[in-house]
Amino acid sequence: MRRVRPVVVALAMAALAGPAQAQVISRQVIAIGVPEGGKVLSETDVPVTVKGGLVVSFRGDAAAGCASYGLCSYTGTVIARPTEGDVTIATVRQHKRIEHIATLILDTGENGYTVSARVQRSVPGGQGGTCIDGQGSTFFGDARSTAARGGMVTLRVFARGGSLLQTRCAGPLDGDLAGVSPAARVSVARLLRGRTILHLSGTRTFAVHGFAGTLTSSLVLRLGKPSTQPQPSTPNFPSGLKTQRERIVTERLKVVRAAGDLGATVSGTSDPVVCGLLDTCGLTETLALSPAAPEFFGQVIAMGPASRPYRDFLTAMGLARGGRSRGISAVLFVSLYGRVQAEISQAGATCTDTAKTGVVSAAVGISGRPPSSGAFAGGWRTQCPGPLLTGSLNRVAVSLSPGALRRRQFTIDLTGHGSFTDDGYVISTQGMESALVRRGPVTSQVTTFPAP
Amino acid sequence: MFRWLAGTLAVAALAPLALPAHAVAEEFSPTGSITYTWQGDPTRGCAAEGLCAVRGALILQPVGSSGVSSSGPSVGPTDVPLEPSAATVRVSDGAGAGDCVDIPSGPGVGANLKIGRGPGGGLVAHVESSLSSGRCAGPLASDLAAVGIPVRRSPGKHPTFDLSGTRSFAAGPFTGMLVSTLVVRTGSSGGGSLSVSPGPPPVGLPVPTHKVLVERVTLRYRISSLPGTLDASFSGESDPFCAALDSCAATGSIALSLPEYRNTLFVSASRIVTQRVDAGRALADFRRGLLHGGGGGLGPPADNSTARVVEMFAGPGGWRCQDSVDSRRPTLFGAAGLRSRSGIALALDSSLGPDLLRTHCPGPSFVDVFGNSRAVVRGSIGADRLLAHHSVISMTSAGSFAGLGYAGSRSGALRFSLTLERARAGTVEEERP
Repeated sequence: MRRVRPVVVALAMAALAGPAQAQVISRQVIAIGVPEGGKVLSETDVPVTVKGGLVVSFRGDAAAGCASYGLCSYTGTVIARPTEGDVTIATVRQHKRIEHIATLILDTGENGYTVSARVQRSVPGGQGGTCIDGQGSTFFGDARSTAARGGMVTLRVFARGGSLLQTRCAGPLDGDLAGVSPAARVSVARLLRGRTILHLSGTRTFAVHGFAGTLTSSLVLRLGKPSTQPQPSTPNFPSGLKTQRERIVTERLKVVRAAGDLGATVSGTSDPVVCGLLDTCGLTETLALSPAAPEFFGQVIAMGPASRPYRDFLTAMGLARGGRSRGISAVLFVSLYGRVQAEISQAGATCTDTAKTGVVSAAVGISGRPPSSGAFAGGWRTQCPGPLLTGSLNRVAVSLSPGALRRRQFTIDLTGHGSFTDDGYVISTQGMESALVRRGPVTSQVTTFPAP
Repeated sequence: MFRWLAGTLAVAALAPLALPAHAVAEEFSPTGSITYTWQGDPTRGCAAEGLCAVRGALILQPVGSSGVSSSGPSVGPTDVPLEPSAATVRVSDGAGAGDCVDIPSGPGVGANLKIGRGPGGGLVAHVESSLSSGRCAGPLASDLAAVGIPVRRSPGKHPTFDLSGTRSFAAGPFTGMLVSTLVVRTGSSGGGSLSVSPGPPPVGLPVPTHKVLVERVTLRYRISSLPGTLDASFSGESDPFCAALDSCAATGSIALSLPEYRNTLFVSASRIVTQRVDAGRALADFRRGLLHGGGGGLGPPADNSTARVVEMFAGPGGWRCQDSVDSRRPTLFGAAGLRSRSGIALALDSSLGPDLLRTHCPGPSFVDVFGNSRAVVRGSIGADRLLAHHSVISMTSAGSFAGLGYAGSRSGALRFSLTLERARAGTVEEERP
């Protein structure tokens, strides 16, 4: 499995853009994940209109091991009805070979939910509950498919890390159903031409990770007119739009070691109407990143007018002295991701599960007066019921030791910071993760942006 | 391969930290949430509307400190832009019925917190957004927007607005409770721009202009509604796709009418000419379709203008709901411009305001029935008839629809009387780039 990196330009754009732009840009970034050492030669975006839907019916199943997870009492249905999306084909030169990376992203329009879940929790001899939830975000997974020139790629709906089935109710995750995912195998040439229809219909059964059930797909993807940009880093802007050339200098950080106990305690809200409809009344939960070494992603990015001397950028990043850093934006981004351990107690029953959906991210300004903030990301969802930790900006404090950036190695501390809510859940963060990082290689590129 | 994706998510989530310094004067950092819960209230007539068993909840939850404003919180009314996560509405339709879940605003739809002086002189906030109970039974967007939240403001240059507290509210046949834990902190922006020096926004260079002769016709009409309704009959989708909205086996109808609607419509068309023409020639050129552009425009509706939606809903298990909602001074239409001989068009535009078809009963949304296109419901009048003293324009949209949870058919028409009140024609001199 190859490592991939987000395209630096898009990262920087996301960092420096406002929230509205970030929504757009995030999709671009996802689409153009590039293998390490690869260069994007072109990127083709094919808009997709989606018809049909996905129905996942599941139940806690003894043969699938529900008892070991505490999932035997759950029965439910998740329905996904994306209405639009994109297929992105990045053409990449990798070790003197040309490859195509195809990615399917599903999305909802402006018309409400894409995913709805209804999950019953039974209690022997007692009153159970029903969790109902809906999601309306952009959905994607690590479902990229790579092919050599002239080859075939496979577009999948479910993949590890995907969020199509992600709700606050108990149920299987995308990765659990990756093996039975609706998929279409298609030639790169056909994708690049667009204007075609792909059928992803079919019915499959599954029994995995405590749940057994049926996945029924009636999805039909109608691919529209493709648009190709020669290089994602130099997009074609409409004529008449004023642009400016910016230099982006990126330094990769490598983790030496990371450890900690960052997590959260969770409880169902006390409002009887709210907790009744989400089935969180009386629920308590602990969430923690697994003590096993989390993966690490870190970059220092400096951005400023391309006309400025390179030394100014290095000075702003703490890599050189003597330059003039004023007017150069420099930010340190760091993300730790690993397995989430969840333990939920409700009505005397316990659900325990782990899933690789835990992400903690932070940004630190490294010149001038440094603003910083961090957040839980990635959802932190397991098969047990629980909150979506995505509205937690400023709930992770990030700190660097004084003068850290003047050293070859330094420590970044990410600390849980305060409480927040997510629908029928109240979340209190706790613990800390520390990462000792080593400064790494620096790359630079110049690109064009719309002028402010 | 997971980590590149997670890193991407994280960076996107952190993007609001890094707004350019010159872009804003003030930054708002909201924390907490606003929870609306409601239930049918016999004292408010829920029995007559069939909504006594309904109870529901909706939570408005701003995500992060992305709210920015150029006006600042120091003086006068304060607008705090909120960027809520996609709010989920959950409604129990009562014993024998099921549960309805919807995301009424769609993802990424913003909201605005307007803080001003209330009748008693204290600060009160109102949430201006399209948030409502969506396709489920419950309050309308206008019901929720009417709920005032007392605000405590700390002194200082960068005050904190504390909206925490509890308020009861009424919404049609429902009574409800608003529980707010929202606190908005303010501060000067700086975001992640770091060493970028705050400064004035860039000033555009003056664009050179020159004088031209423009042949122009400007028409003003009085527009009044005539009897007529836009109708939709609907039924729940097939199982299991009906489950989310609890619309399995549901049937119903919606009628939109404008019992009182008066407004002013402007139509303008022009072209650049080399020599002056008189009014008669300009009108003749207009009739021949030689003048273009400019388009049409509608003013605000007259004070007593009303849009009325009447809904009948029959749910599973014999559940019946019926409701009628009047909207005062509705913003309904966009006017498409004059294009050659095609005349002008009026189009029902749901993006201009809250969902036009929603009542307190469950049912399909405007987008379900009419689609995303703003021109689905439209009526037009040809250029040759624009100069008539009196015309009638009819807006229709017959056909079938299939939305989320509901499918059905459209029929009927909205009809309007157009009376030409003033026509100006001739040649004027203008500065053009």
